[in-house]
Amino acid sequence: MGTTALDYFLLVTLGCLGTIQIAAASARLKGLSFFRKRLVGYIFGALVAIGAFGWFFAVGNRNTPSAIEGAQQVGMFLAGAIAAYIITSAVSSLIKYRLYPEATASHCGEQNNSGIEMLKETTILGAIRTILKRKQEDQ
Amino acid sequence: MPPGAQMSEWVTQFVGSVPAFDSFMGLMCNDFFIPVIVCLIMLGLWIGFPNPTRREHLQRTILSACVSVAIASLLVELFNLYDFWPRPYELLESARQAMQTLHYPSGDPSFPSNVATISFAAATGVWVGHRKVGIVLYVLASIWALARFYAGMHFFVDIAGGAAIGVLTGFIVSKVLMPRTEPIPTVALRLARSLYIA
Repeated sequence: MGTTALDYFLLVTLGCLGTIQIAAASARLKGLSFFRKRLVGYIFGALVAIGAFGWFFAVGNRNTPSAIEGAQQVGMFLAGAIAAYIITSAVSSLIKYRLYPEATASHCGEQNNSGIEMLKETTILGAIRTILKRKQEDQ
Repeated sequence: MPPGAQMSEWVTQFVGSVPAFDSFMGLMCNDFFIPVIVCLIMLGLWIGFPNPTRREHLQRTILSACVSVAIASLLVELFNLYDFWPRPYELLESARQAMQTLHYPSGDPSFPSNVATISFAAATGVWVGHRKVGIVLYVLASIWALARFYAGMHFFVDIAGGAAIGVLTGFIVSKVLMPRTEPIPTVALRLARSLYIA
């Protein structure tokens, strides 16, 4: 992988990380946000995303043949987005695990109350723990 | 020469006149700047709504937009089997200088503009589900495509043709294809929900 490709991956990962923080604040997903106050989430997300763009375009001329084809760009964007989501999940789970250890019963099982909707009440680690606990109880 | 080629000659002669504007257009016609912004906006739409029903509707919209982009890219590949005409910078001296100032030569055929096709397909896919964000994406798609025109990379007809293909693809996918492929989108969303990404 060339330098531009690595830089692009970093741009996408940081951009997604910032966007996820803004979106988590907007959607009130406490389990995905790094912060308790939504405003801090907005500011942090915007700074990370804008900073990533600033860095990417400041370190070199990006209007050169980069050897990253369109399909590769899409693949690298997906990889960067997944990396950002994993980092976000891990960090928010570590920070907030004690605050929101589990989801309440109302946020389990139903179609509209599963997936990231559960992250309004708990972290991803907490959501997984809740699901496993319910399965054990069902058995 | 394609129809309207003199427009390219007229526009590209301004490159070099205002360096600040050239820097701006250089950024706008970049391979990464606008596409990454468009993708981040779509990611924000995917997650960022507090109401789960509205969020699911928007996630279906983003799925439509992604399928539209994929099909539009395939259509561009089909068009590329026939090389309609050379790039402006291969025919016009002013366009060659504009390309050297703002961008770099491309190996793909000129018609249709790949950039216009995929960005308008994405914007249309999103516009069907969320008008305001769709308009923002149309504006970004227009800026990206027009910057390529200004940089001598495409004739105007390449841009207009690409945009038309993108918009048509976006509408057909969103209004016809996606509703008829049920339950595939629903199953995909359910799978994503089980992984806490939807």
